[in-house]
Amino acid sequence: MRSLASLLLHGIRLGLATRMADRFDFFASLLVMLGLELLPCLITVLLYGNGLAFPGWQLREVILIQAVFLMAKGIASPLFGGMVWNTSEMIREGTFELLLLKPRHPLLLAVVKSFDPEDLGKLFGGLALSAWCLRGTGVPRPAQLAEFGLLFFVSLVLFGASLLTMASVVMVWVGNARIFELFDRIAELGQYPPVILPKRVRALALAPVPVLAFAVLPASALLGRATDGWLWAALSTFALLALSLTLWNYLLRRFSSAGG
Amino acid sequence: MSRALEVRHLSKTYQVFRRGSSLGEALLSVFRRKFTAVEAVQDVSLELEEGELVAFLGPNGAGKSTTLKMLSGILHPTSGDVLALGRFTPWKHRTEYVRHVGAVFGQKSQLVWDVPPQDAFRMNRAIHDIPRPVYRERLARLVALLDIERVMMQPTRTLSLGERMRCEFALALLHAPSLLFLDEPTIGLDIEAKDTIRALIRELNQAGTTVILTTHDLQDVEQLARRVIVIDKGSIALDGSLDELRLRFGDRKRVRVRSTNFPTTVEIPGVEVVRFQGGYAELELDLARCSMHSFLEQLSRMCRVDDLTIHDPPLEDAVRRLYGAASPQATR
Repeated sequence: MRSLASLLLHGIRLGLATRMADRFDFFASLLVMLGLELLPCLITVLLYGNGLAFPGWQLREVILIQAVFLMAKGIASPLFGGMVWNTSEMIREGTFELLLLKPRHPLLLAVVKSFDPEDLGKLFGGLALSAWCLRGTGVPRPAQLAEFGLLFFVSLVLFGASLLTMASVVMVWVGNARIFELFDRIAELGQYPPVILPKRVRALALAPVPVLAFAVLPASALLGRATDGWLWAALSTFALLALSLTLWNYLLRRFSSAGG
Repeated sequence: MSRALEVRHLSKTYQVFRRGSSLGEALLSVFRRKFTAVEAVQDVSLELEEGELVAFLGPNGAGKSTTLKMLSGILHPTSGDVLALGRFTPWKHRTEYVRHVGAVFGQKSQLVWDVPPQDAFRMNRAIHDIPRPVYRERLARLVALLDIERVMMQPTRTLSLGERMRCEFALALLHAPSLLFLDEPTIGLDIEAKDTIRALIRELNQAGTTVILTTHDLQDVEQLARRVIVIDKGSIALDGSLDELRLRFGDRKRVRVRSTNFPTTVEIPGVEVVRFQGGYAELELDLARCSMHSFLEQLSRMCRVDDLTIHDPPLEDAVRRLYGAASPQATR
């Protein structure tokens, strides 16, 4: 366990050192990424500013969903996001096999070697927005915080599993440039209150495509709102994780038995 | 002495997608794909003793890299067995096996482009879980041996190819591997850098590391390897010493003669003129057809010899002939 923690820390340090080689690029990217991710918040503010609203949801409550989404993405993307491009690039360059010459699981190495702090801006942005929202909606009780902790963990697993699925897919679908776009379009649904979805689709958004677990469920926990169906969403999330791990291992076996 | 590698009937077949170049064929391939089996490695068997230094030679696409990838645990073979270091099947026990394996690729870097080598070394320490005092001691030794103190804190992208290659070696040796795979380790290096790398390889081998070297640079082979394995069309075309490789196409000598009245043609059976250059004639002598004694006698009758040197033909010639002959048959 200590060895694993040390490896992760080294990965984070190496990722930071790599990005610090060009500080302007790093800070500019950090701000641009944050700006792009704040777009849904801006749309929400414009909607409420023009007298429109998501039925049953206050402005700060909607922004809290988007803030939680940002926080989860701000933690998951630096850890797992870089792996998607890195895997694709390594396979194209023929350096993926170097991972197989190390005494660790290639997936762990792909994660460790792909830490990208650029997305940390989302985490800080999400934290700031959450603080602003909670000032208006009230401080959550310990039970709400505990429920949030659990559902936020599920959200992180969901982000991780989704990114791992993408990293697996690029092992065979090398050269695609739109895989993140595809993911963003689906995940976007999880940044707004579920009232935007028809009832049947809402059930699907809990299981088997648990987009509501990205942010709606943890934010609802913080707000003391109902989190019905969270267990189905959690089960779907862990099923997706199992599926993505199986897919990764299957494609890795295919890579090493087909000749790289 | 125990065996570093025992390879039995190793084969690897790839399925390669084939289609024609016309629009019709391209469209058809969307619905129906044709695959062709490519036998990259066929029935390769060999043994390597611990502490050996073996060079793998072969033309591009001969199957060297595929063989080495299977021996290092990267690829699974289609059939055959490998017993590595007396207890590992590389592709089955990859994680444990690669703890004892180091690799340097002349064309694939393990360093990180934007950060100094020091950072990549630290990362490798964490990956191999090397205790800190052991790491410090090994690093200090490698830094001194490879003379890389000056570049340890410089971003990798600012290093020369020679400096980078020395750092690649340090990185690959930090976990003290007993089996070292080197894939064209001197490619693109200047003479001085090549000498440094060759001296290091020699030193490592003398200290007991088994080295498997793949290269197209025959100077590497001549200066380092005691044994050569030539792979061609997926099979072993020759497995033997450098002398066996030279003798494969007959016992030959190169003779350089300086003479003011050297004839334009030489009609001695078993003697070919290789070139005329700078007042010298270079001849190749097939000793099976013409003894050295007989050649020297005939030469002195033919012209006035001002200077004469005799040496072995370049290794390139034997290798070129071997690649051309391409008849798979092990001689060892």
